[in-house]
Amino acid sequence: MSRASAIASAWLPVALFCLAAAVSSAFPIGGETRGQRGEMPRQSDRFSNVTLYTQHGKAVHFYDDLVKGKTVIINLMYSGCGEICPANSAELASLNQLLGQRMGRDVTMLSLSIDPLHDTPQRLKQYWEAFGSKPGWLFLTGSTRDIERLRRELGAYDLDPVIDADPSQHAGYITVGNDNTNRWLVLPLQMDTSQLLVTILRTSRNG
Amino acid sequence: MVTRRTILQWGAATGAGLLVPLAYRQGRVLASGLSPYTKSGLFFGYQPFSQPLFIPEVLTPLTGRSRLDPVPGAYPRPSGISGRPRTPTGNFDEVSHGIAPEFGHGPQEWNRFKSGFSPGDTHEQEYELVTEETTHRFVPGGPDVPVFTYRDASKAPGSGSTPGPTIVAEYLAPVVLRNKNALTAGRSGVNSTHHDVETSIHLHGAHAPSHSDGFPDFYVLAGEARDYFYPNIAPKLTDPDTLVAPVRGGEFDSTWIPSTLWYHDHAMDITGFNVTRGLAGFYLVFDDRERELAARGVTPEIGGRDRFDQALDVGLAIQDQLFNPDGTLLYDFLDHNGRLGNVFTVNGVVQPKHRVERRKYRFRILNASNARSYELRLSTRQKMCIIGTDSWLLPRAIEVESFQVGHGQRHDVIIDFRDAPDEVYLENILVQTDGRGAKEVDPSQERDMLLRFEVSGANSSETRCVDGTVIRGFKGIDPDGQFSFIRKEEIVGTRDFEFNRSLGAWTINNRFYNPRRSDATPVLGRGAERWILENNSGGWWHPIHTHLEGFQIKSVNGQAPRRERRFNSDLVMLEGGFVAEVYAKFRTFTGPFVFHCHAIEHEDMRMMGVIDPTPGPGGSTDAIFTHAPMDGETALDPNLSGVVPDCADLEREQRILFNKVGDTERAADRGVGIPDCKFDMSERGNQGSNP
Repeated sequence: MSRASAIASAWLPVALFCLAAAVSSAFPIGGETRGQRGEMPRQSDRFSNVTLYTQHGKAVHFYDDLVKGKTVIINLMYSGCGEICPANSAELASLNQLLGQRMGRDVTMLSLSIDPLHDTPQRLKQYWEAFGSKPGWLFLTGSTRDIERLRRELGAYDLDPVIDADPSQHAGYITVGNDNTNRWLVLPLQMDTSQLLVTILRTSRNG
Repeated sequence: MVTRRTILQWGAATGAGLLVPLAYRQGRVLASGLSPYTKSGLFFGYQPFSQPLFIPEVLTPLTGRSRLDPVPGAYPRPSGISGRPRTPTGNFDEVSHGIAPEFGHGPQEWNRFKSGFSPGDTHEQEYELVTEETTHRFVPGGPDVPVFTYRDASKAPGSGSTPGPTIVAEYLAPVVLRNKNALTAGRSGVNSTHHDVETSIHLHGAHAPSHSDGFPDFYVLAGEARDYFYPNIAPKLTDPDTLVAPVRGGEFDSTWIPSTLWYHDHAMDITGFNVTRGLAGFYLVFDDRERELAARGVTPEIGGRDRFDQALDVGLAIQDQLFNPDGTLLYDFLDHNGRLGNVFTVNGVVQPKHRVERRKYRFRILNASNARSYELRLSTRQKMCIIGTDSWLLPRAIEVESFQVGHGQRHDVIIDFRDAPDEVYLENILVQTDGRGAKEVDPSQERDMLLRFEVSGANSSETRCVDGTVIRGFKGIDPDGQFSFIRKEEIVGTRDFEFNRSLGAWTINNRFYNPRRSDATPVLGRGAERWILENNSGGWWHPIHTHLEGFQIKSVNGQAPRRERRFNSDLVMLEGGFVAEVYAKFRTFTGPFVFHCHAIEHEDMRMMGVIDPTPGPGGSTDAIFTHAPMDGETALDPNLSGVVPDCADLEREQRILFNKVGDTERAADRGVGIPDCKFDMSERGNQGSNP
């Protein structure tokens, strides 16, 4: 007999007694209704609605087309990045696999190139194909100015200017956000995969 | 209503505002022109030090017919006290998160906790708190700001406060705190986030079972309830001493009798948001020594829960806050450097005043900020008499002109106003401009004034608290001394933990927190461990906190720490490049527990590790590191730790369901945590429609 079940059986009579005695009490609700306190400012209000280009060559608006009303996993990468980006892209590919049918339906992945001069849509398409052409996964490029602006708005900067100037330093984490519920967080990609998955699922929940 | 436009404008105007605190100081004109400051630089026109200090109520224990129903450990469904997860029901009365298995040792065991145990007195002290949203005014005439509060369940909805009610407990008298999380997406009360908010209460400084410790993913889910069991004990001296094994004899280790604790949210991924939004409160423990100190006149009239006098024994929770232009609380979920506020609050109100007489007071000073440290002093430069650091009283009092209180730390000080002028300010002289850490102590800087004491009355002639006044006393030196240092001969092994910054995140030994992986597995109750805590993350400050047990700081950078930090601590401040050596014992309860950086945004980005104390194999005296490898790969042992057995069990019992969006994550959040089942949703269920 396990420890837990030994304890449980010792308490069974008490539990049964309480089962009989239990009276459901409704939870008291305050007089206010939804909306009276105004809305919390949305994290996505900080995002610029800049024009970006997908690996398929399609022009999209960052907020209106990619974030609005969606659950997103955003990471920064560049195709010329040595070791860190491929490892992290592989991790994203495995998360994509685990999320299965939810990809593209409940969750989208946005990989934003921070080397837009070199990362053309064509090059990003090759990169996407190299990681298995997974569904619901967009690779994005745009003007240097717009990308830099987005990077700041995503909080992906380092207070140390020397570290900030090294693009590989911004490629280690994902920003997970649900624009419906206004829940956002940042997680290191080198965390345990199932831990990442559980948090993504929790964040993607509506309500 | 904050529009997208205003946020953008405001964000652009104050891009640096997040980094450079516009410290809201007395008399200083902040010509920023920004709402919520008026043109005079005042926060909603608030004249500093014109509103009184808020003092939270003492939480009333439940008695007679109002006692907890169902009684703790006996719930309508069979999992009872095992603490094992159940299907979420949204019915608070089912207390679906259960109670710690340790509670189930039964009422006959209570007398092992309680001194002066009287026949028939077999019950624990019971409390009930509801976590809910209410509105709060930071300044008179300011807006009603949505905050999260812990509310006494017997009081009207919406009447909660921040900080939450003060819980006053007695040493060795167990407490059960039922917590109902009403932060749902619309199923109970008002919640302006409009989504379910997970919570988890950590009693900071407590020696309590894992299930009740606020382990980050041992959530109280929205709409669910959990019973927290606080035995209010010190660890036993006898080893190995575990509540899992039959209870052994031996004395409690009087070095670690708790005193000033605080409870606050610790929910994984969302702690920073929850704490800045108000989820924190004081939890004080009294014992015979406290009553002696009051009788001797060392402390003001304090003496256990019946005579605890909040007029003379005052908790001060200091928190720096950030606001949106409309005066609501600002939390930038993507500012992971650390949320640094520009408005100082004490007990939830902006720069209050507090009337005192020319006599002695006890202040429990808590730094409840997410990312800011303080060096506190009085404007008169009068010395303060420190009688406790973090959760424990000192052996002897230490007088200082100023002290550093890192985020999460506490100092228990006696301030004697008998010779004070009519106005005395509590002020901060530590300069900090971003989340990395403080820059320097600048005694001449334009000061951050936190609180004004307004002093009146005739000088008292009470006994003074002076340097060396015996508090707990040194065992074997002072009469009835209670404090002992952990001796070098007790050390059975050393662990090294390096705190680093890597790729925009913070690591401990190059790893990130995984609640199902043990990073340190000490043998329960055997000897002591030496931990070397090394901060190699550049200029970042990391306050390192351990759960279950505190530690004694032996050295910082090879030197003895500040005088008041040489005894018991539960939090050591590692400034950039600092190395600390601490001694700790791990006793009584099996894990998992966490140790982590108390800069909460770092913590939320998984700068945490797991301590999982377990009984030695077969009770033998194997070397500790045979049992507790340092590979960082050791999974928690479900037969010993407070996690459910295995994934196969979970599936058999259908606790993991895939037929509806939301079920998976809810199942994974249940009760005492669930091991990471490598579920692949493209192959399992997950065929249901998207609701």
